[in-house]
Amino acid sequence: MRYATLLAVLIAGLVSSAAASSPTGWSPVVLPTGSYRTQIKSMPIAERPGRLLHFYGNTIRMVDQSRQGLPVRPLRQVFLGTTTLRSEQWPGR
Amino acid sequence: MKVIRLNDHQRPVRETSSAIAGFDALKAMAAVAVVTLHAGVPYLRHPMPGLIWPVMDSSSRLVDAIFWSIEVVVMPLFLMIAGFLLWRSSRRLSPGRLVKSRAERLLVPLAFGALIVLPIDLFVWTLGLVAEGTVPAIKLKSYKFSPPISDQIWGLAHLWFLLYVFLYVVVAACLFRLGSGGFLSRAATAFSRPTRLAVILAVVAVVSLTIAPEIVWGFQHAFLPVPSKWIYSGMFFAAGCVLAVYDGELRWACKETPRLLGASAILLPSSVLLGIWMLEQSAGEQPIKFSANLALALLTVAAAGTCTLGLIGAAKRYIVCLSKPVRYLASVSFWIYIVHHPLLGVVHYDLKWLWPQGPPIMKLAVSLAATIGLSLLMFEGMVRRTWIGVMLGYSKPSTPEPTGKESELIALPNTDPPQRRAA
Repeated sequence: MRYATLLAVLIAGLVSSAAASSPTGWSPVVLPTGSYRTQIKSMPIAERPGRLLHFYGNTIRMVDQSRQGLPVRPLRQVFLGTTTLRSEQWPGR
Repeated sequence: MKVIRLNDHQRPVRETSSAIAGFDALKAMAAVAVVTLHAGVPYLRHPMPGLIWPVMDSSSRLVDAIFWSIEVVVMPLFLMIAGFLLWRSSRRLSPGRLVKSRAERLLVPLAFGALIVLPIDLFVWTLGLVAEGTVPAIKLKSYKFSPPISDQIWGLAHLWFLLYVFLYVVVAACLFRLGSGGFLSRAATAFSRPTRLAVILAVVAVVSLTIAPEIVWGFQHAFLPVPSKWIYSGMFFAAGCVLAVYDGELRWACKETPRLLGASAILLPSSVLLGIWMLEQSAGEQPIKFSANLALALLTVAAAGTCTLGLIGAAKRYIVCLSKPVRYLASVSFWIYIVHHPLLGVVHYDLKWLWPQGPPIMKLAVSLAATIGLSLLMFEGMVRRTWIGVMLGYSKPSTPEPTGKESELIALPNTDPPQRRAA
């Protein structure tokens, strides 16, 4: 039941709130594997794409963007890894 | 999660002893953590808002990380243990006796601290401020400060915990008394699932911290309890009671230890990073968004909750018996807690002038070792075999140890939960 709930949250997050509008981009892959994992690992944390529930990395990227003077959305960036929701990106949908 | 019936008095002795051994280890660790926390204050790159210290020295990013990580976790740990032990005591004592016993153990040391330690604290703090050039020397006589120092220097300092815990005990005792009339049974039925209770406690803690981030990310210094801090801290105390009710033998906590500690290993650095960023924003007088406060509150409560439960589970899971030094440190931890504050102030002041070029992390280590060493020397010389020790709840020299061994050592771990200290 717990895992089903977690999976549902992950899927809901991917479907409803995903948007590639972070300065470092956004990735729907929460747990990367294979070559994508190698690619991600080779990047500095501050340059990796935002990802759902990657609290530590998302916080580092948000703080880094703030120090560069870029606008930040703490709640969304820390928990979802993105600055805008899909509904905001395409408001007419 | 296993549900323990409230009238289940007959726990296996081995289970109880093991839990106590783990709690004693945690108590020793938490006491050292509190001293480490305060030992790092002068070397913070991002000082704690509202916290005044006699000297400020060269800063370090590493000290920042250590200080803020401890700050998030250590008081929730103390509070949860206090709540857990209170519930266990409540099964043996009437509400009235519970309050009386905790008053002896909390209010007497608080009075001792307020009458002896805090005046010394104030003198050391003022001396440091004079030496730093922050206030003129005349203040050593008048003790009349102007804002912001006057807003920050008066209060119970580190002893706030004793008053808060005593008030939680009073509230809990009132609830237990109501419970004898069926109120608690009805409430327990309404919130019969521990997850519901945990969510309610977490939501209240998050709301409190969102409204007043300075509960954790600042210092609210006062003689009387600050409502926001009292509520936030109370949630962890209540969580300890809930843990005792639903997982009295800590089987669930043991089982979930790796997951809890794994989650806290991610959440704790995240909350510290975000908290330090918020402090930078505040220092730069930039407006703090509500969403930033909420994100920080969520991360802080999650980190504190998972880390505390994980440490309790780990203590139960991995610590079966304690070495003599750890038992000794656990028993002296309360004395260390009471007296470490002014000692640290003096050591910090000395280190700044005697070792100006010293690395901050080394100064932290030296001040930590010196303060704990001095506290232990004071305990041996002034407390262990004197009326002060008796007054503070350490047993008399002639009192035999429950185990029959080590009768030479006074106040070594009491295996009976009601005889243990909350801090």
